[in-house]
Amino acid sequence: MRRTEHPQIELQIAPMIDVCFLLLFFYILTSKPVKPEADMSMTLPGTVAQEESLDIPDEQRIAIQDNGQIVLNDLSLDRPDDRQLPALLATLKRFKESSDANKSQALITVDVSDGAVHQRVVDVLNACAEAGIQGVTFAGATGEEE
Amino acid sequence: MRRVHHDEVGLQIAPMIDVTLLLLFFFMLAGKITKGEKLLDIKVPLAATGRVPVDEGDRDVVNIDENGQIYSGSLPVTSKELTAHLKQRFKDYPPLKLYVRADSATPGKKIKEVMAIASESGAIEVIFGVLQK
Repeated sequence: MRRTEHPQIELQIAPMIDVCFLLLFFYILTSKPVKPEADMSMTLPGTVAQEESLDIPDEQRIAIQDNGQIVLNDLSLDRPDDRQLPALLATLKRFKESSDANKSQALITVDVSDGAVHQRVVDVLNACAEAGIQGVTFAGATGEEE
Repeated sequence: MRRVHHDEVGLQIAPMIDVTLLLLFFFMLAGKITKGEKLLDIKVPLAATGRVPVDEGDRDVVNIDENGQIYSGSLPVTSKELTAHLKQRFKDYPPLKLYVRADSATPGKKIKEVMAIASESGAIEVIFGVLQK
């Protein structure tokens, strides 16, 4: 009786390494480093735990118009395309110092126009954070204002 | 005079293949994760004062694209659906922190809408996703 001879199957290492390297270079070249996202937090009005005594905070209102113009209490500040907002930042710093001196909480209400872009909102929040003001609320966030 | 014999230095193939495969798997998986994040093409705004959080737990993610479409996670939802979802979420796991990833070109109208929904749902904190400059 004749025995059937099977050809010996060998694992070819060289082409496997070639393919691995090709895939590796492909993924290295196509991958992009992902930047971690950061937080800008704000506490919503009406949900803050109340202290025993109620101090009326100093409140300022910042309006963001459709074109990006910043208006602080009816006073236009900075150019609509200026991302740094130096005039607003200086005013907010003075406001914060004055509130601290009076031992009252500095509060900012941001009134965003329907057509203003989110980047502009973040620019204003950024200026508030840089000035050290943490009490920032949104007009219309509770559905009461506007 | 004695001649110094140098040992023959051979290329070790096995560890090289190990490292190559490890790198390959790393880049393949990293590529997949990045793709998943890019499903929602949202370019979050830039802000110098943004802080990268240490703990990202205990927060509900809401995405808003540049056209104003709201997503709960990656699922497109209407305002009513989002309100119902957040109310239920707040009921089950208070306190509720809302992480809003809005595109830098998202209209202010939608931001206000989501803020109102967050307030109505009982969220105590709204966090805007930004990229540090």
